[in-house]
Amino acid sequence: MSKKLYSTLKWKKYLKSRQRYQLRRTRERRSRRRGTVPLTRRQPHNLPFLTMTVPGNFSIIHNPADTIKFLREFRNLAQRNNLTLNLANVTQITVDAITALIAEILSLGEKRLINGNNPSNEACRDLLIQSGFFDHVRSRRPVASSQKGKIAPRKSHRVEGTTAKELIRIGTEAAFGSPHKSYPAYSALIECMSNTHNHATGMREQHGAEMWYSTVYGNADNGSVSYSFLDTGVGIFRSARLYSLKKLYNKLFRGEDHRHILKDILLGRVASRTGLPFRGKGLPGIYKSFRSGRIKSLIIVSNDVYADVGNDDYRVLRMQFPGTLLYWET
Amino acid sequence: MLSISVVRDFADTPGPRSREEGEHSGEQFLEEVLLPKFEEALRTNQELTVDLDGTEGYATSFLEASFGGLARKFDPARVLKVIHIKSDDEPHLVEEVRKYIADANAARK
Repeated sequence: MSKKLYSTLKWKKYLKSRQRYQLRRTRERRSRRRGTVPLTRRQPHNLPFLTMTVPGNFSIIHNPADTIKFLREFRNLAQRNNLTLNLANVTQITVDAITALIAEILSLGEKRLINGNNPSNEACRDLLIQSGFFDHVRSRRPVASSQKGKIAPRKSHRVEGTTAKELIRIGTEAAFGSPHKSYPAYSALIECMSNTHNHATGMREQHGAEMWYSTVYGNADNGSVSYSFLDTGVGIFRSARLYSLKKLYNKLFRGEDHRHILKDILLGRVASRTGLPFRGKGLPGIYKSFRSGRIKSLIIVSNDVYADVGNDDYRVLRMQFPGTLLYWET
Repeated sequence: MLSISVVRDFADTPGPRSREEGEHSGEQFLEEVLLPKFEEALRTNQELTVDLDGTEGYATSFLEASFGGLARKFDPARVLKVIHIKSDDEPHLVEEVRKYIADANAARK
């Protein structure tokens, strides 16, 4: 009798729906363990608004500790709240921090509402407006009072030569009045995009799943072009192929940490994760361009390391940066 | 003498190492442009000039995949003998490419 009962259409439907429910629960549990589904399911208009004050010196390259702390808090609070960003007291801002903040906002999709006001400082306000930041937050937009440069953000998960070319054209035109080529900047952008494609996911997923964000700022005042490249992947030190025993030995007996590993990576002393001797030339290539003076002010921030390569200032950060940021000027 | 101009025969925006990563990759350049010309140069016993000028620039991975890739298929010494690199825009690339070809020996072993 029971066999017949369970084979009826009604039971089959019931069992199917239970199966789907359990499968969904399992997937959610696994995702939570990986930390990939942080957002609560409530509709954004049902969530409370929290106010976050943006650091006065909002710059990963100049004020990494406070800026990274803010970005991490933003990510945590946005899990369960809509946010209002108080930018009024910002007196210094750089493109790398704007790029990182836009990346965080974009990762929320349509699931959260983000408000933002305008900085009182005119230069900061101009930079934010020109960056397109206010396309991603709800705000009253004033018209930019002066045009000292141009900023252009782009994002993708593939290696795009045409995007690199476009960014360089925009930056050089803003800085020098006419667009022209920049071989070292093009090379560095392609290397960064390629690294994101091949390494940013670490062992988690297949290649190409991680997104990169790049921003260029051409400054007509000092005739420089600043590039910032951000990927929100696992970071250099979780993706680099490092033998754990060797790493442990170096840490215990030689007092080495990620700063030393980064120096070794830049010098091409760390083998590529692929194990092939002809791979792993991306960061060493950028470093080579820097040493030969073709790019300036190279700064790398990844996981717990901040490296102002030009000033030989390598620091261990108390708070981990979620991903990798490269900044350079030409 | 045979010649290849990357900007004329391939693209002005050379891309990454492999096709999977994006457009105009070194792998694509090797298979579609460099390899057929190199084989022709071998058949006809001619020198092959590769002109790198005129593009937006090169990532090391593109150059390594193309020229290192070619040297992994053929004998690096033979590749160095047949191929002549021209790069007036970025003169340091000539030495860099020659190094990728020479280093391909290590990958063959």
